[in-house]
Amino acid sequence: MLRKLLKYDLRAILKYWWIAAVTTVGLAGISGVLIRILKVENTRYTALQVMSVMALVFCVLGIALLSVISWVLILVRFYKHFFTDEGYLTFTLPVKKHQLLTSKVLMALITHFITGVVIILDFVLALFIGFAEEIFRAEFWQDVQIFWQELSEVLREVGGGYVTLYILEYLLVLLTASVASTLVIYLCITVAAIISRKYKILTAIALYYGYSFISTGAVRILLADGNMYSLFFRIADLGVESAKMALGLLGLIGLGVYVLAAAGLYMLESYLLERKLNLV
Amino acid sequence: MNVLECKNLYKSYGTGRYVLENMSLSLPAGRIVGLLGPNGCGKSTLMKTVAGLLMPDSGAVSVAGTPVGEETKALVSYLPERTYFNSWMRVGDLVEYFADFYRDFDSGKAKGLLSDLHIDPSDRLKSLSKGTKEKVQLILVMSRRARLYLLDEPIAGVDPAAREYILSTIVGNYDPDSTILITTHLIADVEPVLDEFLFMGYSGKILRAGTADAVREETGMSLDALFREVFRCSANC
Repeated sequence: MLRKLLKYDLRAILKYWWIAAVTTVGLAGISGVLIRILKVENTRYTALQVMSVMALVFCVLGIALLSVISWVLILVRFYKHFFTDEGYLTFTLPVKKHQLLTSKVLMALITHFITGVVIILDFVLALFIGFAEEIFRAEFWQDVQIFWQELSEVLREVGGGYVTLYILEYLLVLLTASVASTLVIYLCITVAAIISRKYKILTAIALYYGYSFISTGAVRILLADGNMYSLFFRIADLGVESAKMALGLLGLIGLGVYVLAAAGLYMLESYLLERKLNLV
Repeated sequence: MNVLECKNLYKSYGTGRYVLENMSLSLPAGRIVGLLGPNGCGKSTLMKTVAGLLMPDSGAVSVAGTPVGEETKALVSYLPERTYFNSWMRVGDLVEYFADFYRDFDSGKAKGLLSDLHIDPSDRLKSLSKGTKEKVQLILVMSRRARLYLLDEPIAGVDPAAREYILSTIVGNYDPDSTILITTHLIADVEPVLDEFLFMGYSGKILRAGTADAVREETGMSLDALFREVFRCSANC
């Protein structure tokens, strides 16, 4: 059933998402052309150059906007599918509530992932069009090779023999952080739907701002002198080996915090959907 | 075994008033039952509770002997009083959706009924009129082989000509092992198809139950006329 739920969730999102994604590919193409225009040094066409810079900025912002659009589509799908009239069908399907929630979390992760891939590909495309001559020169690839070697050395220096492990660790941190942040927003929407009948969306926004205010305060306390983060920096100051240890430890603590947060949020959200939601 | 069993059911929406108060109800298999009562007496709340949309404050609800939950949702076919479609879908997508999630869904039957009512499966749901959406919803619900059908105002939004077809669809498509519970204010329209009726007052109190034939024999009145008398000026609500 989870597979079927995910299929329909993704279909609902991708139906609109692909239009935005294709638009960003178009913007990437335009950006590439604008880069080529800007490379031509000609003082007689200053106005054209200024307009090109402005257009390029708009194109880049348009590409970056894809992630905002993805978030909006994810949240609209979650809200409409659970808390509007559509909920009458959703919650009478012969599936468990946690399957419904898991599908929504996976839908968000997959959408974020493909959005990230498209944005990266957009920038690659823009640079490829804009710097085609440079890319097809042998020197460019030699420079890339040198850069890669230097990066590998830095990673070896920082990570010792555990570079892959560190990368995996921080990818897991990113994944769990993404799950936790998605669940926080889902939870705000759910609580708003339970406590407010008329102003669900406004209440959800207010709850999220409240959460952001509290979490920002908590992070400031953590970052204050004498607290956790400064402790890591002090450990890191002791030498290269200590820096490696601090880096690994920081990742592990981050992973632990996000796993606990995501698990707690998931259980709370499941409980609210199961026990407290009244569709009236 | 009764298809539906409610015991000492209490449900409130946190306003201090019980919409359902100590309500008990049993429905055997093979009946078409009209749940009739004034607005706000708890008919829809009862249906939502049985469908698994609402959690009762206390009491027990079971369908075919199983407490309401994921399993009973596979046995209950629920038609709410509002349309619940994903607006981005086409009619054919919805047929596929139901076929995906309900094992007892008969796609062939749904397509046949859609064709009878001249509804094109390729039509977008957002382009359909309210009445047509209600017809589509009813077709989907009645195309399942469920044990219990909960039909909340199934003919309220459709034209009189379609009402007849819909009622014949309801009668013609239900299994003798199943039970249909219908709420409606159009009592005269549904009266001919009902095996039994339940008059429900406020807080879910069952004021009168029986068959339409017995009402006619005992009082000489139609069910519609009896309803008007029982609930006149809300004195007995």
